[in-house]
Amino acid sequence: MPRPTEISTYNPHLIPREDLVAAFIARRALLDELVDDLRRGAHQHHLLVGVRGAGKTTLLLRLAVAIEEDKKLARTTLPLRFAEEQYNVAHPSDFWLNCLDALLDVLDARGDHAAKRKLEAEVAAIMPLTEKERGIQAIATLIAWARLAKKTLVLLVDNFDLILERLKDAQWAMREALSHDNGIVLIGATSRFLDATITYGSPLYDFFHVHELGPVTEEEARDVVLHLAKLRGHQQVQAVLERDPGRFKALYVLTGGMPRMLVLLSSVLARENPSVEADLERMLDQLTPYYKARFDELPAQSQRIVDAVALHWHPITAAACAEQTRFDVKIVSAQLNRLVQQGTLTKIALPGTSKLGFLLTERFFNIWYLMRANRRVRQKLAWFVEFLRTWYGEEELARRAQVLLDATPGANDPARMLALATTLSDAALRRRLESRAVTMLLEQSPLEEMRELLDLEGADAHLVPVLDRAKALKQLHSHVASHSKLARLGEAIIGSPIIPLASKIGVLEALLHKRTDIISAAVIRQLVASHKERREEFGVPLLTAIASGEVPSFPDVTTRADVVALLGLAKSSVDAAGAILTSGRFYKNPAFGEIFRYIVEQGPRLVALGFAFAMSELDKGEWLAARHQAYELLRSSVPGWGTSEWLGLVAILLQHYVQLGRTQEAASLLAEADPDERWLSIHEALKAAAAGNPDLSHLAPEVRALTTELLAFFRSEDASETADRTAPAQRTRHSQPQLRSQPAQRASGDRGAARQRTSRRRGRAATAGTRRAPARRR
Amino acid sequence: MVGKPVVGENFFGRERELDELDRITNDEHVLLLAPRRVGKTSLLYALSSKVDRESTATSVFVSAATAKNELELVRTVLGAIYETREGKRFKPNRMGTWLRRHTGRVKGVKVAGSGIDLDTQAAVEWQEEADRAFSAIAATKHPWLIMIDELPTLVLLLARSDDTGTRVRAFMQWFRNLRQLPRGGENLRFMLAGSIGLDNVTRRHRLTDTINDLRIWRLGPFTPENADRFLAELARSYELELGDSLRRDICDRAEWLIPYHLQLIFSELRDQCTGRARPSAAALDRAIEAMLSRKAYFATWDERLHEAFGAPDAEHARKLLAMCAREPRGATTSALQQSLARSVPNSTDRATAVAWILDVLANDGYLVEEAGRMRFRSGLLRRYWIKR
Repeated sequence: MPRPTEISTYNPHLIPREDLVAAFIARRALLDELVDDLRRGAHQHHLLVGVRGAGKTTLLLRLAVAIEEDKKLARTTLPLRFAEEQYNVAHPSDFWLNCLDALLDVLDARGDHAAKRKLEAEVAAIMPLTEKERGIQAIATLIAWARLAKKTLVLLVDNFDLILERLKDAQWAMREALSHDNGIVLIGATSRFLDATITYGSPLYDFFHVHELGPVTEEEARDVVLHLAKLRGHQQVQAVLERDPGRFKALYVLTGGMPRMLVLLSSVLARENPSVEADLERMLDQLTPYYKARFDELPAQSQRIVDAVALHWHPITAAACAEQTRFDVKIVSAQLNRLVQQGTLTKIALPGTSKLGFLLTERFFNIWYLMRANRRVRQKLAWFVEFLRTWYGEEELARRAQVLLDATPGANDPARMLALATTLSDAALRRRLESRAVTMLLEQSPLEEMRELLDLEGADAHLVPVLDRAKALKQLHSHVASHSKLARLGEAIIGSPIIPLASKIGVLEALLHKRTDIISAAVIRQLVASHKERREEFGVPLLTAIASGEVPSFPDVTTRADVVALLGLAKSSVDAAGAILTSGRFYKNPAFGEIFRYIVEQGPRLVALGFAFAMSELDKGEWLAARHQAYELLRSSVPGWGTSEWLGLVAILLQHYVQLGRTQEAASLLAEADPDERWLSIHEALKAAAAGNPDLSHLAPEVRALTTELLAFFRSEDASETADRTAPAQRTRHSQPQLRSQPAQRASGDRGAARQRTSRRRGRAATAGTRRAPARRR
Repeated sequence: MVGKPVVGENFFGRERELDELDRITNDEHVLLLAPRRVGKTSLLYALSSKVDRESTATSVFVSAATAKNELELVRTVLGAIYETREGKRFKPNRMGTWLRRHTGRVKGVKVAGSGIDLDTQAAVEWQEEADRAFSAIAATKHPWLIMIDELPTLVLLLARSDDTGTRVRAFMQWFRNLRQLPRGGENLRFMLAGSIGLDNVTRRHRLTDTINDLRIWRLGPFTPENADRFLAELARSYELELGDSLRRDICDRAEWLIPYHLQLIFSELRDQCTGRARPSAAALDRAIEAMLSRKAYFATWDERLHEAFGAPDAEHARKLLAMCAREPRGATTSALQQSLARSVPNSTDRATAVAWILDVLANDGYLVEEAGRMRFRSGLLRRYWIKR
């Protein structure tokens, strides 16, 4: 079994020769082209342009190996390697002397000591000359050696921009030395387009064959990843690529298609989900000195620009960047363009506009920056958010969110939960995760820190009610904890789903001060007893979430997100919805109308519940409330339900009106809620019922048949028995705690009647259901 | 071969021009003008080989680009003459002594500003001795063809080193006199060339009288026939199947048929034809798209306008370029004048502005003048300009 290859990502010159050959995959076509060019003896000079990590250094090194391993080419060509950065170059002669040095190294490596000594002597003779003469003689010596050895010297010069920058007054001489057919070929690499090669008046204008080392294509990247996996013995990577192509796409986006990052990040494909994030963090940590050095290299003004671009993550315009940095837009434009030229930023056309946007070329660098940039939880984890978005699909993100929500609160990092929440497109799920995270944060952090951790006046403003509730409950918990006798009762009150927060505070206050005038012993007993019942009915997760403030108690529900969260946490969503409606009516929740709508939006079973609830309102004589609810129901829609699906429920509801002697009201309600007469037969049946005239001969036969049936149904004396045919029973048995401070008596009495009726219906539903209901027709 | 001057077998498609230059330089001094990357230096190399091979003269090729002053140029030229078989006899003592003496003297002169401030006495002395050296060479009755590339670079350097213009005029006048040597002058033929047109430089510095003895000869793009042959030869060399229509397509895309552009497109097309892929119209489309996708490269041309002109002329330049980009063959000067009518209502101001901007755009490599029209040098840059 071959030993796994370790790929040095930042120092390719340290890679053993055989590993360099084995691992080289990304720029193979260009390598072939360069080798082919040398074989032809065209003596073409080349320039490889690509950002850091594009594979320039590796390509130069691999080219040297390719030349040396090609017997025919090696006879005519000699590659000269240099230090990655030639900091010792200050004058033209330095560069040419470095070439001679490199040549001496080759001779030494080959054991050609005689030739080496001879060349050393020539170099020694050059050294005392004046700078100009030294340069001339160094070139001459190099050319003479090449002629004598009948070899083309291939100068593989990395960071060629550094050389040109230092020799900017000597570029004509450089051009002249390279213009002749003198056996010298220069293959340089730079991280940016060189002004010298694209400025018309420059000596080196269009002088090189420029190869832009852009991102590798997805196909090439896949080859790289598979190849590396094979070398590293990561057999599972191929399976991941086949099973989850989106994961590879994410890797490609994160790496920007840059070979260095592909090498670095591809190993995470071999990891199972939980360790991916840990791997990512470890790599970001490892990269810190490198990225920090890159950032520190920038001048102060550029740093501010890069900061604004990085924090924005998505492409930012020059104007927006100017606003962020408070620099003049002209300065910002100049800086942005300079950073683009350096390869730090990439400029792209913004879709649908004529504007250009700028973003950090290396996305991983951006992730690293985001990781370090902020204190606020959400911004601090922006990098994590972007990673999650890139790495996981929408479904997987939602699945992970659900897993976190299902886990015991406290078992996860709330900051991560907040970050994950940001990626979710499902608003309700997002809100649940955020609320859970906030309550967990509150457990872990002092209150004053919360303001710093969250942007409560900005992006996190919607979390203020959650935070306030959680804070209040935290205080209640601490009061209760300090009174051991009250512990059981206190927790029962705090975790009660049917007591509003204000009442919880009031009741606990009364208990703590032993105000028996406010809360009776009977009520206390009832509260404790009912706590167990509630737990069984709604499940521990819901009660725990209520106790922590993650979700409100049923009577405090105000938003759609609250409804969705509570129903999601409950053991049975129908039971919870029934309890929300009942307690909402009991406590006269001002948002009851909206809550009713939010509930019936949650699916067919809850629509049925809505119908049952509206009928119970009718039973109680709550005509106005019933009308509002009926109107909502008749106007609502359920995906996948057509006229026939609605018909039974609508008929049962309206029959209830008829049975209660309110046929006219039913007709007007239907006319108002169904102006398009979707249910034409019901309209006609109600009209006939209201007029007491069963003659339906004026109707078209296809309408008449159903209308006749409906009319019979409306008039049936035992119609109420059919009410449960489709509608689940309304769970009105969740009676409210009878607090002396609340108008419980009347409500209790009303509910008692409703309860009796409901249980009667439920009992009959199984036998009397479909038999008596009008047929559903399309 | 991209960028680097070509020699020997790689020199292609300029046979007619070569013969013509060879013939002209028998009798006249020549000023070779052409935009960059058209192939001036390669042509000079080829001419040098031709005259040497046919023994019609001894050719000397030097570049003035690295010369920092008059003396360095003279030294370079004389040094190159000395390197030839015919020139060896002038060397050992007299030439060497002369060079050593004057090199030493120049070293003693103090440096001021960007150039070397030769004192008048020394300058006069080197001119006289340089005249003597060249007179001696001319007097042998052996024909010499002295080709000096990049001469305008030195001329500009001299002009910048002395605001009064005395120094550059003195040099140019001396050089003209050298070309007009009364005795043996017919044996010295000069061919001057450079990336920056010497005609423009002398016009700018009011020195046109110092080059009025030069025969101006312009090197243009390939003819369509030569471009086609050139591509066919490239294809043969790289064993790539390139049919007639595809070669025509490449020429259509290149628009301005200079070898450099044809080679670039060919090279990119070759990159698109790796493995089993064969050259095709689709591959050519991909090649062009790949070249146009190098936005950083093209964007530099756009951004550079601001540096070159500043406001509002950068915007005027963009308008002119947009006008030129409409058609591959470019736009007439009158059409270009019209395009700025709204921005610069006064016709005299407009004419001055347009002339200046076009001059800069031509000097900076955006445009070339051809058949009375200003066109984009590069078809790719024109396409980028249309798309941007």
